[in-house]
Amino acid sequence: MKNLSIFILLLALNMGANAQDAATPAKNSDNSTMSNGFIGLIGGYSISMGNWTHTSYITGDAGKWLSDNPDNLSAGFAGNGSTYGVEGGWYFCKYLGIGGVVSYSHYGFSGLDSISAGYDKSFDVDQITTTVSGGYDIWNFMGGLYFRYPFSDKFAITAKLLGGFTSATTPQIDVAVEDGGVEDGTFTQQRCTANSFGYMAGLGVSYKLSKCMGLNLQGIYASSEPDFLIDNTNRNNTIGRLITEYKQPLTSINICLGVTYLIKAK
Amino acid sequence: MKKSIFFLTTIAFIAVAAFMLSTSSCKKSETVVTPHPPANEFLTTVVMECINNNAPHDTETCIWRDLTPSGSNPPDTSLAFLNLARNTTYAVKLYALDETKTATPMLADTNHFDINKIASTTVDVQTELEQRVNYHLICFTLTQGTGVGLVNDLSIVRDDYDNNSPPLQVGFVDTFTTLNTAVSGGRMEVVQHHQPNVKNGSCEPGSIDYDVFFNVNVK
Repeated sequence: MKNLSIFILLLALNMGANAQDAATPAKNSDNSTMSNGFIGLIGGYSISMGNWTHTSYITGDAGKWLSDNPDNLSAGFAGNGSTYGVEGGWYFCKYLGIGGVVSYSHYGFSGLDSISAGYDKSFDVDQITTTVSGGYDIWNFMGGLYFRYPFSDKFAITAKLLGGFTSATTPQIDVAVEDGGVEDGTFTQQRCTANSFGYMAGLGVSYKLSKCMGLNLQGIYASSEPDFLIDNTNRNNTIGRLITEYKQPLTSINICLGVTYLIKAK
Repeated sequence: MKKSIFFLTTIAFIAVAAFMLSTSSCKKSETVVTPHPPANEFLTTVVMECINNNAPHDTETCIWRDLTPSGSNPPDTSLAFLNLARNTTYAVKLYALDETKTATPMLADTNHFDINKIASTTVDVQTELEQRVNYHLICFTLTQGTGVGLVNDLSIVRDDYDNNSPPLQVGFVDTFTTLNTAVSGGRMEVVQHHQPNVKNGSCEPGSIDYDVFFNVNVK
């Protein structure tokens, strides 16, 4: 909710800037008013998509978690989150440039009630206490092509297509089992980090606030597919959910606002 | 105009910084406690069926029953007697039933007990338990008693294994062997342990589903 408020604030801020610009007669756009490079900060709301957002816990006879059910194996319990990073680029001609992004995204855990109830059903015990810590963390180090189409000396439509290195980490899940007043131990699905190739495609609008400052609003599609080999500790049987390998596309749509410092070649 | 731009830029930086701080604060752990839903089955009756390996028609059955799971009445142990022959090997099977909704005349009996012919109001809990073998273990304890003593006269071996790795014994299916010695008697305690994440082959971990006893005579 806090993230959403800040997002709305930034959006309103950008709209205010647009309104101010509308009151000013537009100048002819030409190369002399356009910057050659930029470096800035971006941040926004990230909406996770695909199998890793699913929260399936499907059981068979007597509550046994079905280890060969595709929905069980692909469910990643990822929630929505936030993303922020540093972005920079250099336009070597009016429309085309190269650049890169270093970004970090964090996603919460969705379906904690579902997974906890599932373990309770599987183990048939008095109480299950499930704790999730860490969430999903994704670092992106990407480079690629940037496009822009200025339609005034202040506004431009921007697009980018980036590829590179992605490092992702899964959450830690601790499950404490209690039955008949007896503690039956806590088993843990450990946090796991895996690396893979990732890519981003983005479309946005940029606004030149001043000679050296700009704002931008972007929609970014990001995807990667790391192969997580997950350790489970203190796990004595395979009745409840047990994931030892997870390889699903970690896909998201990011709605980001950015503040940029514009660089003009002399 | 310049002031306004400076103001907007400053606000934007503050907003981005606040956003970063807010995201870092979202990384706290989250905990959910899930209590077990109210049980719709009770474990009221334990039946032990012993079939003589050399004479299958020689079947001994004993029953321990407590129809008040809350413990308001003492258990019915009138059928909790087992008579075994000397120098004999028995294939033993344990059954757990829920007879809370079964009328008295229809309760399981030691005469010609057949799990496939129990009353329609009786729930065969054993079937469910056998699907959960990975965290159940039956433990037997013999009390010395009379004659040469049951401990010296009866050996018990669990025959069934679960799906754990490595497989561990369960105890729903067993072999009893009596020795060719003098008459003996004693008490056999049968405990079903519930070991959801702690099963290691020993009787100590976990909680107890049932703890019943049978009086055993070897003649």
